[in-house]
Amino acid sequence: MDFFKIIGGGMVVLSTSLAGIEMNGKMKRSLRLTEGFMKGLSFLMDDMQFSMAYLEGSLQKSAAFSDGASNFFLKTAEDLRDGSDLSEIWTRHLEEMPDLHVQAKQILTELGEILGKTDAETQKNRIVSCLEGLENVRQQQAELQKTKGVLYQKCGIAAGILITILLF
Amino acid sequence: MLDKYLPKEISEALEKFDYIQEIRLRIHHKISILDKTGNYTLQTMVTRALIERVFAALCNHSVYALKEEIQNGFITIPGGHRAGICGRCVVENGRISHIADITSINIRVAREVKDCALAVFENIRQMPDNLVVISPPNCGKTTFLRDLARLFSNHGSKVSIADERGEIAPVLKGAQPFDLGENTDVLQFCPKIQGMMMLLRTMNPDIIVTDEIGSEADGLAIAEIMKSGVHILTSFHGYDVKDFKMRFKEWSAFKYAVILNRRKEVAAWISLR
Repeated sequence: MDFFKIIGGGMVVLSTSLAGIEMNGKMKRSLRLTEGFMKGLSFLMDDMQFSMAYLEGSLQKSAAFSDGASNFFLKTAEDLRDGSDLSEIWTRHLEEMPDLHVQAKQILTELGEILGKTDAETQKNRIVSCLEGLENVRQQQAELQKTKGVLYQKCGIAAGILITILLF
Repeated sequence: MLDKYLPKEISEALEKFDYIQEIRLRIHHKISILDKTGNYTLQTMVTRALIERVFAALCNHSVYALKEEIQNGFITIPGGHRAGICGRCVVENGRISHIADITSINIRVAREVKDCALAVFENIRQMPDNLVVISPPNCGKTTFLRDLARLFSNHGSKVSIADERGEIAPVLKGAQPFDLGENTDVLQFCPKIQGMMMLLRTMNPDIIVTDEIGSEADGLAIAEIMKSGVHILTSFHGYDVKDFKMRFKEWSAFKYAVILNRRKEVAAWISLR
């Protein structure tokens, strides 16, 4: 009987610890995504300004600079080939990223509504504005990850131990 | 071929036409088609959302990259097709900055008609000289010029094309949808006169092909090129030789004139000197 209690207790501690680790991990992934989008969009802006290439090509190139967000740029570029509406494709692929910060998603969705539809100067201004918004989000995320990340992990372990003690 | 730019239901409706020449979209009107058999109307009503979607697709979602074309009122799309656009012109410092609030799009379908220029080519290939193709709009001047360039190129002449609007020899991602011959070089989207002079200096051509001459500057450039012994093949918007002589000062630079009729056939070809 004691053997099963020990096993059960161990599983509780493990699961709560993993929950804490996962929450920390999610924050890290979300931060990486935000940073990936920022790098990708910076490259996109420069490529659009310099080469005046079509958006599909610029998106493909941006993927190489986007770290965690590279899949987004690649998939969007691919789906553009069949002539679908860009803002629909853009929004759809954003929705497929559960780890993306809610505010970052909102900012990127607004960008998707205007991307490719106006002259070069307006495109640049909108991307710059988007990057500024994302930088604010990134700073918030980095601060939160620094202060709360380790705390979640430790809380997870502590909660597991406490539950085990209470149960047994 | 235009499936990418039009919603699925419209593309499917177009399949029943064999030889589409134009597709017109006008806001709050039904889509009209010009086929070689006549004018037709589809059931689809053009809404603002539809026309904006088609425009975005025609621009490859890259309006910023097509500023100059849009300022000229058209977009050249892969395949050499041209989409004319109408809407509200935004003017800055006396020049059209861009066209906003698009209300009409007219897609003109480009086609390659091999050997349409063969008869003329057979008559002049031993003694090539400057040639102008004259007709009103939409009579096949560009198609004819393209074929003539191909024939001369395959005959061994070094042909250079100064393709200001990207219609004679459209290139998409390095690929050429039309057969231009074995010895042809293309300079695309460069202002015509600049393009011809660059080709003259760098590509050592036997023949330079360009589309739609008409200005005095065009005439002076042609006179300059002739001094190098290079022949010019070009086109002119007009009704006949008399019209051409009246409106183009340097008409005597040309030895041959080909007149095309509305059925896109050679109505006449004439020696001017």
